[in-house]
Amino acid sequence: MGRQLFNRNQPEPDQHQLNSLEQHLAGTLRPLHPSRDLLLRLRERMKWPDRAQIAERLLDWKRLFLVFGGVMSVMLVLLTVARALFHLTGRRNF
Amino acid sequence: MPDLEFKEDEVLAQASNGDREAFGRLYERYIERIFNYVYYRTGNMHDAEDLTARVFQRAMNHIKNYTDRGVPFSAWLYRIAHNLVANWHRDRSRKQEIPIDDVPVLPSKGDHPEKNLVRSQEQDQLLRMIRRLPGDRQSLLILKFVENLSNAEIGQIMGRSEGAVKSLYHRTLLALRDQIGELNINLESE
Repeated sequence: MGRQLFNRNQPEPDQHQLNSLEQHLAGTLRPLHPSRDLLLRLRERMKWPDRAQIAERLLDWKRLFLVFGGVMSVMLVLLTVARALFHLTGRRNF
Repeated sequence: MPDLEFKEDEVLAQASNGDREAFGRLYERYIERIFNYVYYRTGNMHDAEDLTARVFQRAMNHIKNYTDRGVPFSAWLYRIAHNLVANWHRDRSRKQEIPIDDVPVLPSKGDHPEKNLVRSQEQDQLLRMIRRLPGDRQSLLILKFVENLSNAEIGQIMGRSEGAVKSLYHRTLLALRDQIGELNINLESE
């Protein structure tokens, strides 16, 4: 079979040892080819923010304030319109 | 299939202006490289998938901030990946989880399964040792061997000079050699 690459009794940095180690590293750390399914899944995920990103956005207090203010304003407008419609049309029927 | 008409500067400019299709071309170009880097740094497919997605989401959200100051776009992406992986390792150490040593050894295309079976134990031992190295050394080895980058390119990603990368690489090889000697592991030549 093959010979032993490194020996405890040889502590000196030996270029031959390092070259052999480099060869083993090149054989071990090889590029992988992710499956097509995985690539498609990743592509799908790009369309939607993930949980971590949503959490990151929630930490942005300025944006959170704007979103909260926006939602409250829209709700107030809807409530006002609903009250106006109720006042103008439906109130006399009750 | 290679994108023959890919002009990175133009595509980057389009992507910076919010063109999602242009960003998609960048994504297609770099997805495998980033996935490889993240996979070897995390050691499992699930987290590698999750972190790779987050790298590109973050890149998409911040691409307007990217300006070419001598650092290529790929280096910028690797830096994002490097930071996310570092956060991932930090979170795991806080949760006091046992670090994963059982890195699966996946075959590359074109390899014979019998050969992989014979070599997997040796590769597994070497991968375990690599995973015990400090993060910057792991990154260096991955960028050098998996991504086939030069010392200068690695320096751009790691924010070090070419000479510093070369020196770190040599020290990493010596550290690995010493570990192999201490653990009395036989890495046999073919």
